[in-house]
Amino acid sequence: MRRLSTFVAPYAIFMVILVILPLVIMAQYAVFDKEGQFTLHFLLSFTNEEILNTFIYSIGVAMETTILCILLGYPIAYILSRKEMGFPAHLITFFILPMGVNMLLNTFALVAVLDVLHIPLGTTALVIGMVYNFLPFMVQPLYNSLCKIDSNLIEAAYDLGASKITAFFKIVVPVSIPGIVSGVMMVFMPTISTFAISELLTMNKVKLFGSVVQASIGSDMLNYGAALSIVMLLVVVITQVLLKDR
Amino acid sequence: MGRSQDYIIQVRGLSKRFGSRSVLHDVEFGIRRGEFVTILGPSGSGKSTLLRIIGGLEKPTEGSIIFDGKDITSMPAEKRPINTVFQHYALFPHLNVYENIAFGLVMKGVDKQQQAERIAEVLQIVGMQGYENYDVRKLSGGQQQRVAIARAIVNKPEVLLLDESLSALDHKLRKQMQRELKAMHRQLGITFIFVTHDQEEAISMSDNIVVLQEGKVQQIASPSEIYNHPSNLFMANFIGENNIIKIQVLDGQKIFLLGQSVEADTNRFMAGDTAYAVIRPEDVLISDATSEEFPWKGVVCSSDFRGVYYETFVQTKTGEILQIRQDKEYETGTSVGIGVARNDLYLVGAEA
Ligand SMILES: Nc1ncnc2c1ncn2[C@@H]1O[C@H](COP(=O)(O)OP(=O)(O)O)[C@@H](O)[C@H]1O
Ligand SMILES: [Mg+2]
Repeated sequence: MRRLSTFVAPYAIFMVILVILPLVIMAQYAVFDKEGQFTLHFLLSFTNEEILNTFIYSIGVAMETTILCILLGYPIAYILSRKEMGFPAHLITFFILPMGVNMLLNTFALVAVLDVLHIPLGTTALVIGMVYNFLPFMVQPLYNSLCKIDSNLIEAAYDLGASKITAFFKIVVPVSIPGIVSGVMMVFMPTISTFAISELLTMNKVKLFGSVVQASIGSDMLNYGAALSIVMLLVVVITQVLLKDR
Repeated sequence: MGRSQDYIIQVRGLSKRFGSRSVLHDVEFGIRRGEFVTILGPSGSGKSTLLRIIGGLEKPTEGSIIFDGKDITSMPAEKRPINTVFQHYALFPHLNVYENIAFGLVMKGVDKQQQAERIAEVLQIVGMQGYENYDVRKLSGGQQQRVAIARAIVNKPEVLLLDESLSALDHKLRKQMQRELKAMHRQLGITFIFVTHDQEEAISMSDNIVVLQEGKVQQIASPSEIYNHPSNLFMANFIGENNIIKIQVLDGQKIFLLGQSVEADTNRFMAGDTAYAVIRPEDVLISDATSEEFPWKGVVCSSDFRGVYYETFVQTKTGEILQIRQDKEYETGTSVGIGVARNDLYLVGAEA
């Protein structure tokens, strides 16, 4: 046991300095004003109608992005995971590759593509950009989890009288739920806090919750930004807890 | 082949290629209603592929599957009155024991009440009452096996396919499951097609055995027929421990065996043919003296006690070594006379 704890030590230090300490500092900013007075003012400002609307709108965009990523990503991941369909195995790399490129670069590239396609920047462009950036994060866990499904399982369903469609919805989808859950975590949670994508693709017209946080920190309203970040963190934690036992 | 209506399943001229690789080659046989048939063959011989084609999970390249007189070659798996117990059970991990077994019934639209009755019935047959709500992933191999059988038989298939169903179980459990499977077969009265690479299992369980090797049927016969009358050289090597000696067929019911001309049943051969004499170790006679009954002479190489008999190896003058099982011990180095009764000399050709 002693040995094991030696190995754990660097991680513990890492956790304290890079995770716990920033959280404490952030919490401190959120509940104390510039004079060092304790106040709930900043946290409560969340109920401000404009902020609340932005928040709800951001959750909406995140949900839309997540659902579109599932709808687009699932068929790709499924087809590529079934070896018997005969697609080359490395084809999956093309769908996952964009993950390795910085999101800002992806988005700049997309702006150019949208221009060529005559799609105006705005809310539609925003959703396209979100899906474009986050799709690989959905495809990867879905693909991994679908690959683990033994094709005998699907054949057993046929053998017991299931059609292809029934076998897909009664066996493949339920068995791949862990993959769907990790995909949702990988997409939904980060989309809540994005700001650069929305700024670039809507020419700053649409404000997401992440943009508000970024803006307030950028304009010396640290306490305010910290309070909003705490709220965002709560959403992420709640999502995580809700999804965890699936 | 007999009249076609005798058979519940007929496999006709079946070939299967994966790309350029030929896995089944002109396979042809029939299975009678209610039989326990085993497809026996070494690993990679095409047993699973054959079973999958019968079950509808694979399409043959050539040939057809006839079920009860009707061609079902292009009928999809879900429509066939055939169910499979998969090699690694393939239980649905997100469903419990009850839901796994209910799957086929739900697909058929059987009402809940009837589902419950039939599931209770099959749980009883496989000895898994009380396990309805268990997580299938937490069951032992033997229990998963039973659930897989229950999930298949609850649909009252006319034919049950079992792919190496017992191979993953340990020896003791395996013997027990063999007996139970036989009992289930009698109780259900349906046709079982069982796949195994284990000869002993095939011989002890089956009414008929189809021996497959490299995608070709080597012999289709009852266990005793296969044991006593192997159809060709492969079968003689494959089944049991036999002395196999190359011979020449002579005129007038005679063969040239180990340097001597002796009488044998040569009806299936022509004078001048090369063939193989198959002699079981227990059928080789051995004597201290030489006489007319013991036309060959040899020297004892070894003689070891094996519990109920002595296993003796004798080298003949022609250099062949014969394996002999008799209840007497012979001293190494002694000269002996060797004989085989005419009826114990069985001839096979190189091909079927
Ligand atoms: N889907 C497939 N694609 C290519 N080759 C296959 C496929 N299925 C089986 N084979 C090949 O066919 C041969 C027979 O396989 P199989 O029927 O599983 O044999 P057995 O069950 O007797 O071990 C093997 O060499 C195997 O590699
Ligand atoms: Mg097999």
